Amino acid sequence: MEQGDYNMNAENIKPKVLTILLIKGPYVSEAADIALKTALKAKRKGYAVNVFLYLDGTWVSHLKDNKSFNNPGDWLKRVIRTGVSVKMCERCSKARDLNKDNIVDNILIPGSYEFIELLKQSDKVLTFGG
Amino acid sequence: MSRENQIKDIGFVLTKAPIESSLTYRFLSFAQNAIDKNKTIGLFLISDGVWLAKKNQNNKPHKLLNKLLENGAEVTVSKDHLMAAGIEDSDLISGVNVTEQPYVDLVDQVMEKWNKVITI
Repeated sequence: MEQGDYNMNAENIKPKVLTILLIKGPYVSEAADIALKTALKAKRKGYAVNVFLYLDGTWVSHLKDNKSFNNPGDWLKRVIRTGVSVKMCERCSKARDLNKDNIVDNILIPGSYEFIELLKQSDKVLTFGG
Repeated sequence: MSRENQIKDIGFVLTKAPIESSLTYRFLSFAQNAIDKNKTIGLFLISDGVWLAKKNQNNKPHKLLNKLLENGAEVTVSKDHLMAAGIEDSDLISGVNVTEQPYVDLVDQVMEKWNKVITI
């Protein structure tokens, strides 16, 4: 079996979709690290992956600078570079004064209704930080 | 097909320690309820969830883990997090599988080996 073959739905040859919902901020627990490492591994295995940052999970987007210690912001940038779609809740972002000028590049900020669309498109959903 | 390769009805991903939150016990009780309704289950212990598999604990979630194992649950434990917690393989209850590739195995179980998945 070729790599990636088993990640396809046989009927339509589209990759299976994994959506990861992160609802806890960085450094308060390991949730952000686990969510982003899982997203990265899933993408590298050939799945289509969405990450949705919700509630305090939106704070991960704010980790723009380099750090001399473990940095979930670096994992987030790596996830985005790999082609994972990363979105964050608009209301949650506004509540925390997060906007496109103070977050990591290439993150979309749609309304939370977008998450419902992601749910409908997904084969599996993982929630971290609950 | 070996037992390890069978598709499970429901997978449970536990990131919390046994008595960190009452959610842990409720989560495991839900797994037992699923078994009682003839569902097959998998349980993946990662982050602080690995503490559940350390033997000789006197708490309800740990006792329930033993029951889940007796009832056929397939339990996987992250080696990375065991090492971070200083838990040796010899400290674990029998019957659990230790994975040295936790994220590879987590993705594989979620996407290919479990029909549904629940996380806390």
